[in-house]
Order: sequence, then structure tokens, then C-alpha cells
Amino acid sequence: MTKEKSVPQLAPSKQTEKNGCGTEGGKILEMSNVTHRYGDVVALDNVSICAQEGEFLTLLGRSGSGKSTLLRIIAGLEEPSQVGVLRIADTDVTGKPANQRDCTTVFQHYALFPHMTVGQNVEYGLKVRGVLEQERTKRGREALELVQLEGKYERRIHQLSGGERQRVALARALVTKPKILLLDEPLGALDEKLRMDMQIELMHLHQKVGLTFIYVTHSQEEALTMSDRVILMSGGTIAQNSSPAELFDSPVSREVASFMGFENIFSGKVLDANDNKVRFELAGFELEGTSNDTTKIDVGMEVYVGIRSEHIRLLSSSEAEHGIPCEHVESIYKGKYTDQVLRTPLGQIQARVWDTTSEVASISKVDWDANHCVVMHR
Amino acid sequence: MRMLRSHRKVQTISKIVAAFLGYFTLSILYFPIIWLILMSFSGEPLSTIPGDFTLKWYNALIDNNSFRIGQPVFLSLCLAVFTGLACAACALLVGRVLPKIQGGWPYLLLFLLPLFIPGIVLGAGMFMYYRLVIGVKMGMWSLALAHFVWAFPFALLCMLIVSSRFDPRLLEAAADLGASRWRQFRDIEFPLMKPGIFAGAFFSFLLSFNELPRSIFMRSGELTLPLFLWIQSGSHDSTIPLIYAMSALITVASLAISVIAIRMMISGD
Repeated sequence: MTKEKSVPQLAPSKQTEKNGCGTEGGKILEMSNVTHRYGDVVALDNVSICAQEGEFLTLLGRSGSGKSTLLRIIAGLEEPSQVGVLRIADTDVTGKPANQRDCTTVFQHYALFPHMTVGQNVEYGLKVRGVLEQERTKRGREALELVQLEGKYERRIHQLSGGERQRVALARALVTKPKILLLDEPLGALDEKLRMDMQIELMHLHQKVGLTFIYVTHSQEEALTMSDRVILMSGGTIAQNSSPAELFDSPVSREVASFMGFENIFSGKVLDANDNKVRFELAGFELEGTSNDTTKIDVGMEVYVGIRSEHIRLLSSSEAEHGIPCEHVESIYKGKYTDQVLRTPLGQIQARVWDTTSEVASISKVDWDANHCVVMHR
Repeated sequence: MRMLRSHRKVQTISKIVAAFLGYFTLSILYFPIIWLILMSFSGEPLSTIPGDFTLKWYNALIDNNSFRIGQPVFLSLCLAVFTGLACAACALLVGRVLPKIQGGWPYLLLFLLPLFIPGIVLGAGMFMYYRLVIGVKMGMWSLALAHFVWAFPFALLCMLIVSSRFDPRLLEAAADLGASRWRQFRDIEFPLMKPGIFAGAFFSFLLSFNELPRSIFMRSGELTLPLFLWIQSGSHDSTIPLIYAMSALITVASLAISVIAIRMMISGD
């Protein structure tokens, strides 16, 4: 999977430290040691994140992972139980209410004002800032143009479709030119086709306006498609903070791997580790995998190894002198591909076959490339 | 096939019965009102047959010096305006908070329960408590108090219809866009609650304007319009025909205000 992203000129190169908090300038959001509790439930546990100017940062995670809480704390809609530093564009916003922070939110439920027209909705942020009507209308129309809703200025909200409402919410949040645009699962309520189109449109919009986007979603597809950087949240903590490609190819834990769709995860024992290569023992087989950080992996250590189903190679008896013996259990037809479930000494393995005409009866062994086998800490 | 036909037959009969009952109920509701208005235009309202239509009773209503209606009308209007405004304001303050309280329905019940106590009983109770225990002087302000107590639950109901539909997330969105607490209320909450506020004010106005049983106890020497009409109709005076005219006017005005109030509440979105 190759990714090509054009990052706005303002954004510094992405070789910042792991948490995105590089020492150099250009930090638009700085947030450290944030803890939040709802009663006894810890929603966020000592989380620190940063965002660079112009970055498209995605907070990814299951519901209840704390990603939305984090966004609400940035917006000022939630007051954190404890906070170390909370700065937006070099301004300390700790304890400041939402209306005094230079960021706006696109809500999943849109939260458009039903008693106002599209134009009035979009211009509301300018109105409360005391911008004069003429200037307001001009900027309101510009914002609507940006989301391709030029003709809908006079419409009432209830006359719009779901997708159009989404765009109005987007225009309303963009019109005040905030330092950060927060998006809370904005595509969650749209149907699949529209969601796909909007992903592309959001990417283009991000490039056009050059603002910092912080995007919350539970969909790994959205995260991978749009982001410069993804923070995977789990149980109120950060599970992984990396580029989309790294998150997809090199998960750091079993949890991340299973969230990112690694179908085959086993636990093995390290025999030897150096130079990003790890040799390990698994159910009596000696196998090889890769790890981005072999310094933390010692010989004799118990580790998890993960292989995506599309990287499992199926071998017929004639071509297999190496590999792991297997027995075919069932085929699951998925349209574009077929998932083959196989029984092996390691446990069940799922393999993905794109060529639906292939013969399953002759499969006798499976194997995979070492660079597709990810070794993770326990 | 036969089963189906008999089933259809039952359906038709039940439809006819429902329609009949509906029209019957409407007729017993509205015929007295229509009859009253008809008689108010009749030459001989005390006879049983309408006819000989005339406007003379309406003219007499304005001209007749012995039928001193000005004072009661003025007092009733004052009381109704006060009750309408006070109820709408209090209902707004209480009604916007009540839906936000988790497990708040017992409070709602407490607010609405007085609706089901007979007016005469409540009037007597209020008289005893406010006059004899608290020592409130009976007169115009005691009437205002009684009318407020009577109308407030209705105003609160009007308010709750709107405020329970209100999405508090809109206020978050407004805050997020830079609106202060006051702007949030002025720009978002108030406009969306307006139908409930206005409907509450109109209904409170009407309930106060037409209130009789509590006023009997709380009036002291004061005379509201319903009290006046009640006393007049009990007397064997030549002014009785005027009551028809007066009642017809009140009925039409009340219906008009009710229709406005209901339309306001429905057109909430």
C-alpha cells in the first residue's frame, strides 16, 4: 500500500518525534497529561498529544476508547479532571470555555440550528464575533462555495439531505477560519457511497484551506485514507501513534494488530533478533518475522506474531517442500475475494484468495514472507 | 371468501359507529355555543326560539348605564395579562430545566397534580391558608395569586412540549462557534422555545380571564367579569339578555386566542 500525500507548505516535514511533539515550532496543539473521569470510569488516562500546523491528525478507536472525549476537551465542551498543558496556537486555553477557543467542531449529528436558514447557520460564528452583515454574507457565501453548496444559501435546514447538512456543518465550522478544525465522526450518519466521496472531498478541502484537521473516527478505512498521522486510542490511552502506513503494516501490539484487521495472530518465542529480523519458534516450527524495533526484543521472550490473510500463500503438494502443513476447513465467499479457513498445527489460519477459480482441494501447505510477518511485544 | 366479506362488513359498521359518535360529541360540544350566539342576536333571548334578529343587545351593552360592566372587564383584563406574563416567565425558567433533570418526573407530577383538585376545594384551601395562616389581604393581589396557581401548570405543560424536544447539543454547537451563555440563550434557546412561551402566555391569559370558583373565595370586594356575569344571571333583572351578548363576545374572543395559541405551538419547527 503506497501513500502519497501533498502536505501544505506550512507544515514541517513529518520527521517529528513519535508523539508528534517535535521540539521545533509549528505546534498548533499541545496537550499533555490529560486525565478525565466520568464518576469512577476513567475515560482518558494521562494522555499527551500534539498536532503540527496544517496536519491531518486522526484519532482512531472503538467507541468508549476516549477519542471523542479527547476531542471535546480540545473544543472546551468537556472540562478534564486533570490536565498538564493545554495550548492552542501558543495560547494557554486551560479552563477557558468553548466560546473563547480558536477551534470549531463538526459534529456527527450536525447540530445545525433548525430555525435559521443555511446562510444564517454558516454565518453564525461571524455574527457572534460582530462581523458586519455585508462582510458576513460575503464570507458565508464563500464558505458555501468551498463545500459546493452555492445555490442553497436561502434554504431551510429541513429542506436539505443528510449529505448537504454535513456540508453546511463543515462550512459553518470553517467560516471563522479557526486554528484547528475538529471533526467528530462527521461521516458516521451518511450512507457508504456518500461516505467514500466525502473522504476524498475532505482531503481536498484540507489541502485547499491548509488548516489543522483533527478527525475522530472508528473506521480504519477513513483513518488510512485521509490522515497524515493516526493516533489509535484504546481504553483511554494511546495504543499507537504513527503514519497510516506504519499503523497498517507494523502494529506495535496484539491489540492494535487485531483492530487493524490482522486475521492471524499467534504467540511465539524469540530465538534470535537483530537488524529488524526476528527468528522465533511457533508450535515447533522455526519461522522468521520483522520488527521495527528489535532493541526491545530479547532472545527467549514471548512475542505475538501477526500475518494478514492476504499475505498467506497457499501451496499445493507438488510445490511444497517447506511451509506449514494444513487442511482445508471451509471457503467463505465475499464477492471480490474468497476467504479460505485452514487448520494447521499453529491453529486456524485464514487466507484470502483473489482468484476465485483456484483449486482448494490441492492445498497442502501454507507459508508467508518474513517481511509480512509482524513481531509484536506481549 | 365469505370470511373476508364478513370481516369487511364489521369494519364498515365500526367505521360508521365511530363517525356517528364523533359527530355526536362535536354536536353536544358546539350546539350550546352556537345557540348562545344565535340567541344573543335575537329580539327575545329569553324565549326558546331564535328569531327577529337584531343588534340591540350589543348596542345596549355599550350604552346601558345600569349594566356596569366596564370595571369588571378592566379588572379581569389586568388579572389575565398579569397571569399570562407571570406564568409564561416562570414556565420558561422551570420548563427549560425540568427535562434536563435525570429522574425529574416526580417534580413534573408535583407541578401538575393541582390540575386535578376541584377549583372550589382549592379556592377554599387557598382562602384558609393565605388569608388566615399567612395573613394575605384579600383583594386584587390575592386574585392574581389564585389565578397564577391555577394557570401555571397549564403554562408549564405548553413549555414542556417545546423544551422536551429541544436538543441541548445545539447550545454546545453555538458555544463552539463562539457564542457566550447569553448569546446561546438569545439566539438559539429562546427562538426555539418561543412557541411554548407564547402558547403558555395565551392559555394562562384565558384561564385567568374565565376563572370563577377560586375567585369566589379570593375576591374580597373585587368583581371580575365571570363573577359579575354569574351574579347578574342569578338576579331577576332586565339585564339578562345583555349576558347573552357579553358571553357571545367572550366566547368568540377566547376561541380566537386558543386557535392562535395552538397554531403557534404546532408550528414549532
